[in-house]
Amino acid sequence: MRRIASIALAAALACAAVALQSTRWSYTRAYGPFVRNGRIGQTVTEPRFTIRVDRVDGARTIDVPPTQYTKAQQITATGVFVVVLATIEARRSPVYAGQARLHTRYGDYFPTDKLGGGGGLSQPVVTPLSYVRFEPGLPRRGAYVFDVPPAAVAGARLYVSDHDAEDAPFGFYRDDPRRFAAEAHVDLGLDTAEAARLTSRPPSGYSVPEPS
Amino acid sequence: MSALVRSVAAGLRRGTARVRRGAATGAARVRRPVRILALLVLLGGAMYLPFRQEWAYYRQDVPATHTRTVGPGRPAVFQQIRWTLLRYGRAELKRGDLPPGPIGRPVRPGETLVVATLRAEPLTGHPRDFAIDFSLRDHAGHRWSAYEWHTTIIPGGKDPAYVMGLVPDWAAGTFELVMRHQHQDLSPALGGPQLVFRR
Repeated sequence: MRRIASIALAAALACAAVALQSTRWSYTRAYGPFVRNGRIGQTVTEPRFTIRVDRVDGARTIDVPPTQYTKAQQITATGVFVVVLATIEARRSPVYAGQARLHTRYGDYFPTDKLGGGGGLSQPVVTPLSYVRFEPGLPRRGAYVFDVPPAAVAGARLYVSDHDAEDAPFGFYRDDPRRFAAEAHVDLGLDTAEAARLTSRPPSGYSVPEPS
Repeated sequence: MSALVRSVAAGLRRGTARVRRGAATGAARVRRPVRILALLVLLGGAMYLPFRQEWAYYRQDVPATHTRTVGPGRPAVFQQIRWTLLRYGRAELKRGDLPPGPIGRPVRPGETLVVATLRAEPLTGHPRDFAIDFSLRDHAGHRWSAYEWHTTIIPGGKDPAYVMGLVPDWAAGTFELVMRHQHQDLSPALGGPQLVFRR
């Protein structure tokens, strides 16, 4: 009798194990990105940094001031430049908020490469926030610049993550830059009217501020 | 006579069997909790192990495996160099001097450029690059980047070594220098020992 009870218990445990397998966490729940939501003007607190989006501007062209080695230049958007001005601060230790995306109904857009600095081999002509190393107690205000079709602006949200795939210390995770990222999703308040305001007559000669 | 022997032998057999049954019941009582405990340990281990490294990676800021602290004026060896903290203070740049590249000048209010001055005596005669991850920390758990500045370490050299960092004003009087082994790919140090120079 006891043997039969033991066998039944073992079978029940095996069934429970199989059932638990099918009720495991989803990929996103287990591996991230771990999302915190916020909206423009509100501070979103992630484990390693805080971000507050202050303003969103539109621009048709961006003016780049001359330097000691380069002339002044004007960079034209393929669609429209969406400039997201934000303040970011590290909470405990140095951190990059290097993974920024503009999430739109057309898909995700990464910061424009028209400002240069691609691949980390050169400095961009204007330093976006992706290049800034944030330190605790030293907040920086700067810009993320996206080049998107005007029709994609309405409803766009900013996704910012502290994750830097280059820092991945464990070999086989290097190919998955979104794994274990803490990600802030910020509603930019771009309803149809606001999107129309940004895209109908975007100013030319916009000056993107350096991180300050 | 033989009947008496048979009855005694039967009695002995019955007694031995009873003792065995009792012992078996006792062992079963112990065995079950042990098995359940082992099962729970296995279950916990199976759940913990796959997440261990990932969790460390998620934090991207794995604390040092062990910490060695050294008081001011006391020497400590790190990467075959004997370091002695001489002083902590605010950095004062002379005209034309630049802070280490990744730091930049303190141009915003509330920022202070600080420096740790150390005596560095190499323990080997051969010149080599050291791969030290310098940082500054306070007791509240904040950490800031720091970099060597105007420093060349040679046997018999008299010049001090400088490590410079940019911290908020409120940390300018409390920061401490931390040394950890740098990764080969220059990514942040993960685990490993750290040497803290106390104030």
